[in-house]
Amino acid sequence: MTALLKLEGYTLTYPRQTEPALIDISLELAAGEKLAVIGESGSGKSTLARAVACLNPRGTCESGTISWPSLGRSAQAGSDFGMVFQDPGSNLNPVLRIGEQVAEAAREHLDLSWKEAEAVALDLLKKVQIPQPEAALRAYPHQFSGGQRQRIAIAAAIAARPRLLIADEATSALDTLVQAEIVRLIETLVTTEKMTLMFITHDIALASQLADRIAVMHRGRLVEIGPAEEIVANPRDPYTRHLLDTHIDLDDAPRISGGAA
Amino acid sequence: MSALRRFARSPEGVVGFVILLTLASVALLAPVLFPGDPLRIAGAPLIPPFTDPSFPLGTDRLGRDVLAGLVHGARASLIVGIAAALVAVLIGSIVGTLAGFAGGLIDEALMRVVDAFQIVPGFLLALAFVSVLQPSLPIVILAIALGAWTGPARLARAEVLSIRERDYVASARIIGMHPLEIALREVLPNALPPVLALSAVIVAGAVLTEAALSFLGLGDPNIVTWGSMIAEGRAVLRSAPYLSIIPGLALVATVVGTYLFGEGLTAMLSRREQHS
Repeated sequence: MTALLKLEGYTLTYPRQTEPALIDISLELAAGEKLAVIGESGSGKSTLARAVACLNPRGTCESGTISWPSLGRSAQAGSDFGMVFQDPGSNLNPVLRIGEQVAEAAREHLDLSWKEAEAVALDLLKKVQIPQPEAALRAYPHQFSGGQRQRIAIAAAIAARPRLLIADEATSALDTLVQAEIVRLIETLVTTEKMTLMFITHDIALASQLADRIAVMHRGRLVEIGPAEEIVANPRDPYTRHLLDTHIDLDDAPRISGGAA
Repeated sequence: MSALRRFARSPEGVVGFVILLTLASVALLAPVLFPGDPLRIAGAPLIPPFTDPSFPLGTDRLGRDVLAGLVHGARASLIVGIAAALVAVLIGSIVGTLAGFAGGLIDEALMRVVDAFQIVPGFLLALAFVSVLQPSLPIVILAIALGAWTGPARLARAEVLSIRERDYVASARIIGMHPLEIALREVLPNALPPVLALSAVIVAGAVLTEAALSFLGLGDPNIVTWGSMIAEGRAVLRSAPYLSIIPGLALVATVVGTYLFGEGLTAMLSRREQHS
């Protein structure tokens, strides 16, 4: 089976920077696969996501290739990939109605009239479990909570039925309960709509729970990639081990003990 | 609804609104209040104000009713002020948005054009423009807008520079919207509030510029304007100063009203920001 997305020796340097932000990244993403990209802040996870989505700033220096072998052409924004961003406060346009924003991609790519696109939007809002979807179509972003806005952003991202959904720290700004809901939603949507998922996160537990494979980034390099269980159980790279060690779980032994006694 | 309530909380805004509302209704009702041509000779020349009940504000040196001129002049002043501000804000915000959103060479080129317009005094530009073309109402409006669009352009560009980095603009790119559509539908409406707050100042400036043009005889000669009434009164300034003072007071009221209204708008917008 040909890969959906393929990066070969991809190196990226931001304008006016001497150090590259991504160094020699090679990875393949099979259709239907769920890949988590983990790493600390500044490791290049988001840069990778934005590079795949053609969102590089002007003047960025690139080498290597990003190709879409199963498409046999360059990817089209919207219909081939969709993206959900981190900040629920700024991922929706404050002056446009929810219905318009969700319907936009459907109208653009599925060749629908505004009326038909609105029906699609209503359907999507139901799918992402927004309460009172009919009223939500005519509401503005400030009328929703952070978790709801993130759901709406997901609805807008998948409106044109993209093959690849990129979630760039989509749950990082939310509290743990809402985070779990959103992750479950993304998981269900990806399975039912047969999408491929690229999930960027710094949360290794979340990554291992959601993904088939995990890619570990460190200082712009891809240090390790493999099946999720293997990475968690048996990390080969010292940095991955370090990441796993610093992860604090509720089951861990308390690190401060006997202080109060 | 809440926007209205926020506006009502600033007393200066309410005062400005009342002044403007009065002026606008007077201007709209001018043909009903004083039917016929306000430039026709209606009575004896130079009747002082408050002496003849049929001419409450007196007559000028040709015997034309000053009150009728004042009421009809409100139309010209308001039309020119509002239309010039509309044109200026429209051109300015579109140019500013495109410059800020496109960046690079397009930005440089557009902003140098803005600079070129900004270094020429607006009044001089309007004066030159009107004296080359025929002095008619649309030309006067365009001439004033020509000197006033640079402010909105700079303001819109500055706003757009920050807005274009927001995630929803990236989202719009990712769903494959055309850049021009992103600029005009996603970015421009978000950049508008500060530009709209500035528009009240532009209206006030435009009313004054129009009066100044008419005073110099470059207004539309077929309509009464406050500027032409002041110019008319200048010849008899010593014997009948009221002929210049009365339209002057009307000008002051309009400019103060617009300015206060603008203050109210600004207060309303800043309150919204505090609120959210």
